Amino acid sequence: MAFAQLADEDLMQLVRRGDAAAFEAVYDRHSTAAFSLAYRMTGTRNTAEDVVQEAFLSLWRSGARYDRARGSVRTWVLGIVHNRAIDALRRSVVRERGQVSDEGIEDRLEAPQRTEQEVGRRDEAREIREAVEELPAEQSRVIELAYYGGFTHTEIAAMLETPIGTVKGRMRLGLQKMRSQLSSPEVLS
Amino acid sequence: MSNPEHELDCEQTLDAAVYVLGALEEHEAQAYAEHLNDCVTCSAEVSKLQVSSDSLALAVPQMLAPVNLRARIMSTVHAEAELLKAAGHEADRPIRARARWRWRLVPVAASAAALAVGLFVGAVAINGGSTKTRVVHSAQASRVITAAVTSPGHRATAVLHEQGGQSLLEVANLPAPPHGRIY
Repeated sequence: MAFAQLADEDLMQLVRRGDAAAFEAVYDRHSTAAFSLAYRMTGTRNTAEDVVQEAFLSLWRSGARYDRARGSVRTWVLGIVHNRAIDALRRSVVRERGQVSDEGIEDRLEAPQRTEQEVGRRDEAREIREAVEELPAEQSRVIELAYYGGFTHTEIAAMLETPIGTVKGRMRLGLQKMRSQLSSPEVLS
Repeated sequence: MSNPEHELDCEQTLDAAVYVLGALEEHEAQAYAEHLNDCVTCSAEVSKLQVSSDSLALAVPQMLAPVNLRARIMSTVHAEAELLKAAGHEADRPIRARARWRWRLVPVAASAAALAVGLFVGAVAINGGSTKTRVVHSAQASRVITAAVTSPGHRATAVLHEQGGQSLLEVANLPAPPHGRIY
């Protein structure tokens, strides 16, 4: 079967029935984004690999939980990776989170731009980064500590010596502003 | 300029941003997820903010995943796919869900229930062994049929209880099915 022609959602139907080849196609499409997110969050290659392995095996074993009404397969995959990375961070003793370490930096090869779709994704990533950079520093700080660092709102409030209510408010305002800046349907899909 | 605080109809709406960023403690996140089932305001807020939060995953510098990671994952997936193929694609459903039909009292015709015992005997006899079936108690309204299969190292039993048009089949000590087969 020519999996390359199938949409992610159709591949997931096959994965649900235990089709390993369809799963491979899903992995090949999303492993770069998954590994990149895991590495950004955990800061080490080994932990990032563990996170991606856990996430994809969980996806393989629970493909039935994917609901296309709730978003794209890519968003779903990255959501699983994000949750697993948070679990890994909160399990770890080291509390220096949200920082990419220098470990294995020589191996940090940026994924090449091979297809039109990948070029589009790179533009999309740049647009999102710009949206975050345009936020007031206090808003982008709490968002990054929470999303990439895996810190809880109470931990962030303690770190920044700021009331919890203020931290929550900054998160909300920051995400609202990002939404208004990311107006293109491609980015929001 | 409007104050965003005034837009909040539910006092927990401010938690929506914390929730979508994954910054609630685990027990708080579970409680909030339950709250979302009942609160339209918070649900709408989560849907709105989730888009921004999800986009953060796409903003990181892209790195190729190691080749050996792919090999590791696929090795596990192919092994599990083989098992699943041998057992049938419904075989990985939760045991409780699969087992329920076996033990629940269901209204079936007596002949169908007797057939179930027959199938059991047939299935176990595949492994080679002697069978013995007897009616322990028989009355118009209820009866109990037992079947035993003895093979080297195994003595499997099946007991069929029939009462009031309902039947309960109990099986015990089944040997492992032949390779590639399931009961």
